[in-house]
Amino acid sequence: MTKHQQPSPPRLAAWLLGRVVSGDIRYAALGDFEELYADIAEARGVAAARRWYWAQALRSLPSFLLDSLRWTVIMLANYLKIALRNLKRRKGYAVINVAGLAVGLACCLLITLYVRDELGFDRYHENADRIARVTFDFQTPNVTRALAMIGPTVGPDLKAEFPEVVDATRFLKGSFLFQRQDDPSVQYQEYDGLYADASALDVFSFRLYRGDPQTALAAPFSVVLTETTAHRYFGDEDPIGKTLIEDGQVFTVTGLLDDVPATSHFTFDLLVSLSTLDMQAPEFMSDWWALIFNTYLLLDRPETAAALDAKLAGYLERQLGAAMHEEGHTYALATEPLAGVYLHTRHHSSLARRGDAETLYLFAGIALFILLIACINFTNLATARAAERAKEVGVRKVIGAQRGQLATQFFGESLLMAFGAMGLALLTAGLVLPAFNAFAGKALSLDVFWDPIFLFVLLGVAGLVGVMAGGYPAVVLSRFRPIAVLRGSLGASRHGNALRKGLVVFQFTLSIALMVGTAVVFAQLDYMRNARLGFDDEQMLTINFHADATVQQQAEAMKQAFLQRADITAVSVSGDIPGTGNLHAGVTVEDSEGTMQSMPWRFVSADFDFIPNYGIEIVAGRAFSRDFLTDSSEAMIINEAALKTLGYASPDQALGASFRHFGERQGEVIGVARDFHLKSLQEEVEPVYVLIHPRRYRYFSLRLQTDNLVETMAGLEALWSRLAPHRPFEYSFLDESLERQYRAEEQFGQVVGLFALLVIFVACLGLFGLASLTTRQRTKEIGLRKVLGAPVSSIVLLLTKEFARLVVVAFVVAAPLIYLAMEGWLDNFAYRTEIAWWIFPAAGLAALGIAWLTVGFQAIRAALANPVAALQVE
Amino acid sequence: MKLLSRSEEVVLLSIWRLQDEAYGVSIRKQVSEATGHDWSIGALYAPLHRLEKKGYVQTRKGEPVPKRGGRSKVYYRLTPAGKQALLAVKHVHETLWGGIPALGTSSNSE
Repeated sequence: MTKHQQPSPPRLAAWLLGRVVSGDIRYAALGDFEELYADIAEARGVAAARRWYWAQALRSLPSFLLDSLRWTVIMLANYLKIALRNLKRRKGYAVINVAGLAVGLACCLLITLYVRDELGFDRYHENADRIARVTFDFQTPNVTRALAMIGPTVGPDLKAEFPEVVDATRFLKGSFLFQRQDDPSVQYQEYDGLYADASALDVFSFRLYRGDPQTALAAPFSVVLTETTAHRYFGDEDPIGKTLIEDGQVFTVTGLLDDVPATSHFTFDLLVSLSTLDMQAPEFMSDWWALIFNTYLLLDRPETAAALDAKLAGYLERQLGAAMHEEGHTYALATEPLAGVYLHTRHHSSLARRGDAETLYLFAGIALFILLIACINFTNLATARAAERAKEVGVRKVIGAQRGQLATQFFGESLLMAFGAMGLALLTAGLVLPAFNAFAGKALSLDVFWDPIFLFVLLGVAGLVGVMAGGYPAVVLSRFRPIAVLRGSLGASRHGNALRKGLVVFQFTLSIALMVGTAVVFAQLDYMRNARLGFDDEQMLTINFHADATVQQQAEAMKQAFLQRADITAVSVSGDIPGTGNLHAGVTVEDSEGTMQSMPWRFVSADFDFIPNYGIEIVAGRAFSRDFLTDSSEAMIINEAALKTLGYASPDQALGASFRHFGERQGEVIGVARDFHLKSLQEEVEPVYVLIHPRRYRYFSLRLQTDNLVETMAGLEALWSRLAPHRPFEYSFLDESLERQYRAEEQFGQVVGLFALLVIFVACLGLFGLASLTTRQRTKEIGLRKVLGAPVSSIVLLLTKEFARLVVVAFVVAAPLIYLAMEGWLDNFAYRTEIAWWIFPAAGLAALGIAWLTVGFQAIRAALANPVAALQVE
Repeated sequence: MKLLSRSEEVVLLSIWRLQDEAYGVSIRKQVSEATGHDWSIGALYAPLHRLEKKGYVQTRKGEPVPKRGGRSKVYYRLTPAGKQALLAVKHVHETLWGGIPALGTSSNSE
């Protein structure tokens, strides 16, 4: 044997082999490598030996890799078998644990889908990042408005004046009654029609599958239909070039669009060329102050928006001139990016749907909490279960199991359950999705889960939960000294217990908060539904005739015809009804100091019968009366809110105040009406003025008195088709349409309630696990107490009072927090209920009761058990 | 009993032949000579690992050797089960080889 220093083999190659070769054969194989290396080095030199070593290592690599892989797979299969066996042995535990996690995950999945959808609004447009909406904020002494609508001239002006504005496109909501020219029986009232500039199809990526995007909306009286709308009129015929008639005017179908995607902040059934209005209402199209045009700009680059905003002030200055600097007036023209238009805008537009970022974040937060709680409980239960197996671990260790093997086994089990729960969650989410879609008014699909990133996150979450849950038992239990465990002296770690208690408090805090939240939301809904509206909405049928001129002219005759029916007690006709419309006009009125003030009040045109028919109370003066010849042209009624802005001390003083309405009429205030809610109770009652103004009439309001609604409706429909055959019979019940105003709040309440149920469910699972752990830990104590004569009741009390204390702590934490949160929510409403004090103790007691039931079940079982059996537990 | 694979059979036979001298280097040398191609160390240890897991061979460590980086030689020895497995393969060979016409003697000898 040589005495000199051994030449050492190439380090990198040796390291590589060490990583790859399976542990069982590593010692022998690496020894062979070194021995042969040394032999060759001696015979042929170190360089040759190094070459040989590398060549041999690389040649051996595939075999070693395959060998390692093979044994790893075999080992995993073995762990899986053991894990399944263990789960089968404790089915109840496995079901509770997997189900709890699955519920949390499913909930989180659905919310994720929802949030993704909400955040993804308007992103499908090719130019999405370069499109901006024009906004207009103005404030005068009487009115403050934040509009996403401006006058018709602004868009073209900006395009002409600023080079960074590549294009501008305007939309105006319109209502059309279209009739096929070649088949007059095909006629529909279109609510979701838009006038649109020719550039609309260029700026936005609505897909035009027939027609030329450049010219489809260029010529006046052109109409582009969406697929569904086209099918409605033309069935399977080719609609291109076909004609529709609206009010005697012929429109030509020049294009067909895909239906508007559900993730668009505005939607429409058809587009009519805006140039049509240039022909029909040229003076209107040049009115800078016709603030009803939704205007979008296509910018050259996304970044130019800020620079453009700065220049808009100059443009505004040139347009408004001196008015810009009047005392108490501020005006601001700006842009907002398309991406924020759905969720983050504060600007009002008549055509745009709006999401609510805050509610979205709230939901996302709650979903995360539910997931977090589910994960924590999963871990807790797994730990509790593992503690029961401490003895098994001890035995395994005694017969030679290594720590790593035990740890791997625990990880294996919890990972198996975590992935099982994920699978179950996906299944649940898939099953619930249709109902969820119907509820949320969405068209979500699980397709997104094929997105690799999403899939990765999903597996990552399941893996993380599995590792977390397996972690404690894997690390702590596998470390146990077997002798101690087998002697039964396994103490629960103190801080582990504090942590678990903290979690219980956290979960019940959330449960109580959500219970109170749900109760408050529904209390507010109840309040709004039962509030005094200032008018009578029972048995009121409204018919919308869309200000049709023919109907307006024969309105009086039609009213008489309705009144012929025994089941109609009163009829009125008006331009507005509660729950609809938003017509701000403006009137000049004499205030308490005798000066004429321009007031941006809401205008309601109504006939003589409107006020009595709706039961609106007159607090001063009188309602319109046919006895006064001048009432139909020179009389105005205002409400109390309007009265207040004029500064009169009492309603009577306002009587006789003079008014001017545009150039068309002037006269006096003849009456003051008690405030009535034209809008939902979320908003303050607006100042309103009422004039008899037949050209503005849009609705009939029929007070019904009938026992047979079906017959009444059939009779009315027949009557309508005789009186106004050219108009569809388009009716709604007032109380129902008012109810629809609260759909968002109703949904909010239901969602919060659902969350409350989920949190309570998941929290109970956690409590159940924790209770089973402590009960088991105290088995011997319970046995001793019983032997010494303790009654069952005192033992149950002993086991449950600890948890009761935790729930009380949770209540103390939850009550003030949720009180503040709900006060904040209620402040969104102009008319709000007060939070009833008893909601808090009720929620607290409910939580306590639920906790007691969960724990009590186990406590009673433990208390009733035979003490001898308990004491035998070593 | 599942029959041994060809590589397992070769390795097992080689161990049996080497008796007390059977360890990685010597086994590899012998199988390489017998089969006429150079077995890589990896190619040897994959079947060895399987044989050991199946309980056909046992290992025993010798004294540490400086040339092996201070490691001991790991000697392999057949267990009774290993011998049974070899005999089973031998039996199959003999049964199938017994009394068949000579292979490739007349027509296709080159």
